[in-house]
Amino acid sequence: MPMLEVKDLYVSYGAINAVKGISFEVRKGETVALIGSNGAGKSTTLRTISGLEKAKSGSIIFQGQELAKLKPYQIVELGIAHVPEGRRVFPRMSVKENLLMGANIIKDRAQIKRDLERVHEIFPRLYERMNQQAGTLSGGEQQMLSLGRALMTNGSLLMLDEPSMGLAPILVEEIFNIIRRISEEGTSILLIEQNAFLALTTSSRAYVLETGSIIMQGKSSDLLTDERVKDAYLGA
Amino acid sequence: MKTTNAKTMHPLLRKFGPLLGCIVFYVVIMLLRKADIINGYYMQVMLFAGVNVLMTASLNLVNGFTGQFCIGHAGFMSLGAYGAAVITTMVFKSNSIPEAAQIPVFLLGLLCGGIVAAIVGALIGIPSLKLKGDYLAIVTLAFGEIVRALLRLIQPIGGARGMIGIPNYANFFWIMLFVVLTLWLLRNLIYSSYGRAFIAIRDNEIAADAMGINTTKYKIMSFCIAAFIAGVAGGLYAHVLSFIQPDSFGFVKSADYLVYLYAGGSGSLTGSVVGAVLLTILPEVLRFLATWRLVLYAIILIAVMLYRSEGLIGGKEVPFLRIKRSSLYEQPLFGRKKNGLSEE
Repeated sequence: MPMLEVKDLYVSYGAINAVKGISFEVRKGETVALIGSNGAGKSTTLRTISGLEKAKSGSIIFQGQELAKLKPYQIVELGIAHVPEGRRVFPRMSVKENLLMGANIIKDRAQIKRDLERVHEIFPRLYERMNQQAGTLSGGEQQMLSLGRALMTNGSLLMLDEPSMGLAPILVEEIFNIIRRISEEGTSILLIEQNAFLALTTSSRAYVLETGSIIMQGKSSDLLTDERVKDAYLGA
Repeated sequence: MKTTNAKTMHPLLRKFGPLLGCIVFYVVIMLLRKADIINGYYMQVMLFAGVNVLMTASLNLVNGFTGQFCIGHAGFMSLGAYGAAVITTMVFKSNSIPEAAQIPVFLLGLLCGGIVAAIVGALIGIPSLKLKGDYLAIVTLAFGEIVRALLRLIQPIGGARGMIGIPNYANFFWIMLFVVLTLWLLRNLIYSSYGRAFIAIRDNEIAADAMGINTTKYKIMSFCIAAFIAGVAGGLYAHVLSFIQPDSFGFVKSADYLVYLYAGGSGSLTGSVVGAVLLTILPEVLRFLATWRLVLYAIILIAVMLYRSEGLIGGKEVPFLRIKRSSLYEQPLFGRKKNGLSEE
């Protein structure tokens, strides 16, 4: 049984249909990518899964539970960690306070401590800046912080919205190495990315979205060599 | 960041210093009053300054710390004023209350005023705070006017003529007690796990959602607490002035509190105190300029906005209104509070 199953999902903003009946699934331990150009409905899909948007119809089932009627905080409690688009750290809190904000649903302090140590280990750079105000970090560091903060919620599914956005190539490489590592440690990942090459080399399966519908799907390695994908997204 | 003077102080002094300071301040003011250096008029201005501090600090909780936008705060004040006045003047008939029962009746009145304001706050907060965005501003703007219009229509409490004969129980002692109590409560609230949640919502509501914070619940909580404090402040106001009428709680009054808040510095309790006190006193000091008073008042405000757009005290706190942030890092933000997070 898949961990997350999205079936025939429709989402609209007023009269505009952003997502038109998409279905996909994420299995346990797998990294799945949603690729597509601007306005394809990728972010909307993630936002709907985490409850920030309401679905018009369709179902989202996570570990056997329907999410459509739940509030964002309840969905986080079920184990879906969402890293929203564009590095949304709490600028006036310190790095550590930001991380602890992520742990606010966890009541077991030993667990929080373990998670903090894990984040330190994955992001040594954050550790160096623990008491610095988050707003003063560089873009890459803020992206790391927002990833680390999501890890602190200890979810079993991590949803990443454009982790490469606005970052220098070397930092993008670093972030994606970290994402691969998190995946190898057993966390399931749903990744949204405009950089199709990066997304396809990081994920095991992928779905291609265009104007709110899935037009292609398959193993990432197959899509990487597919002529149509190459033409439209890889610009080979 | 570091508070050198607070750090080197004896721990007992640090703990009870503010309390001691308040008592000394109170005694000094009382002595000056007795010597008639502070006359009745100065006293009245100080009482209003205290009420305004309560109003501004509570508005700060919503606008400054939770990042919502309430622009009808005087509406809550009027509910509190009428609620408290009805209790002391109509339910208990102020002139027939025995001496010993005056204070309990007064406090009961303030409590009722606060509760009425908080309940109405919940009624308008629950539907409008479920939404993200500036809906609260529109709703509270309308709310302030609706309350004023309704109060004008209710004849038993005086209608548009207002209520007279409210006993002037709110002396300097009570005003100061409530100011100190409120600031202490707000400080502790802001540095608690609730306060962290408020600030997270202000800084980034979507990220707060994604962190599993029940944003709606915390927004409503912050709004209702602020409404309660505004209600109590209104009750005090009624018992300072002895006379209230619906039109003194109009939009202009709400706007005054917004000015106090932003001139003092939103997101800073110290700023609320400074803003409210300075801007209550300033028009009185400028009274000798007669009609030019308002012009100068406006110019001063413009200067503040131009040269200190974050407010006079924006983002800073005096040591007593701040808890050492480094100690916060050692505690889990949510859940139980006792032992430190890192035992080493």
